[in-house]
Amino acid sequence: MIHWATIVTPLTRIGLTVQDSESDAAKWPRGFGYMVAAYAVVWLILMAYFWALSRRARRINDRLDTLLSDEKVKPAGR
Amino acid sequence: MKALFRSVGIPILSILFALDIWMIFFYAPMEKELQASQKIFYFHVAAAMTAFLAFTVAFVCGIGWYVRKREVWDDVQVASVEVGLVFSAIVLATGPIWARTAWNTWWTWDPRLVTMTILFLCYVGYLVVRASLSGDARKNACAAMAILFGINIPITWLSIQWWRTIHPDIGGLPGTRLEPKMRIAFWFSVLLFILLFIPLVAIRSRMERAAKALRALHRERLFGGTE
Repeated sequence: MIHWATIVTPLTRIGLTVQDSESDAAKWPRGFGYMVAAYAVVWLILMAYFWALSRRARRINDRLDTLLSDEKVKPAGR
Repeated sequence: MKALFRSVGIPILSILFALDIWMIFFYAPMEKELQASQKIFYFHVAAAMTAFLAFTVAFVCGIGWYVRKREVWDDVQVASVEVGLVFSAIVLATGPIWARTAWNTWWTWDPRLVTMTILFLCYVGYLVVRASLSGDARKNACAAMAILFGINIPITWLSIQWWRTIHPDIGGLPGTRLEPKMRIAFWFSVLLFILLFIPLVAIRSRMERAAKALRALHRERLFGGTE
């Protein structure tokens, strides 16, 4: 958690707010924090979709297993 | 097929993604004005082109369904719409981040931004309608929507030429006016996104087929084949 904060805090300071010193501007190219944020968002969206796909596939498998084991199949409402 | 994708496809895609990241950040030169924020362009435009491709595939599948009435058209159609929505989400999420640095605002009522958002919302509507119907009514309605919403694709693509806009137009086909190294990195990103799109659609359409088989089996067990 401490490591995460030490990385993210300078990035947000540089990219997501107005640069307030010349030294910061010299260290980091313009919009560096925005670039990192954009790639993080791409990563998150793709990972969320992969997770949703695998979850759905697992659910289909589970339902199929349930359905194929005869003793567990009961009409709805009983 | 599944085993082949797991053992070969995933490692190859991972290596290509790593190579793409290297090309974007180290091979392609830094743009003079926008600097680091220009690097967003490589994934933003590649995702947009892949989303357009996905919705075009859905459009073709919509026509295919009405001509042939084969299940595969419906399966690939829903898969393409869903994957296209994921890539559209990437476009709509990364666009405002870039706009904040370039235009000093997250959002503006620019024709390209508005048409892209409408395109996204149309296909969200497609999934909502799909979830609320069943049987042939669902397949017919979804095919009709895929065809109808397909009209939005050229409108969105050409909006920067038809109307006054502040969205960058880098000359016809994206990437044609770029510096050579930037162009190589850009087309590599496009190729990579399309390579990601193909297995995702294949996996999702197989899942749709499995879900349909499961529903049919469930109906058969409950009602003895009649509904």
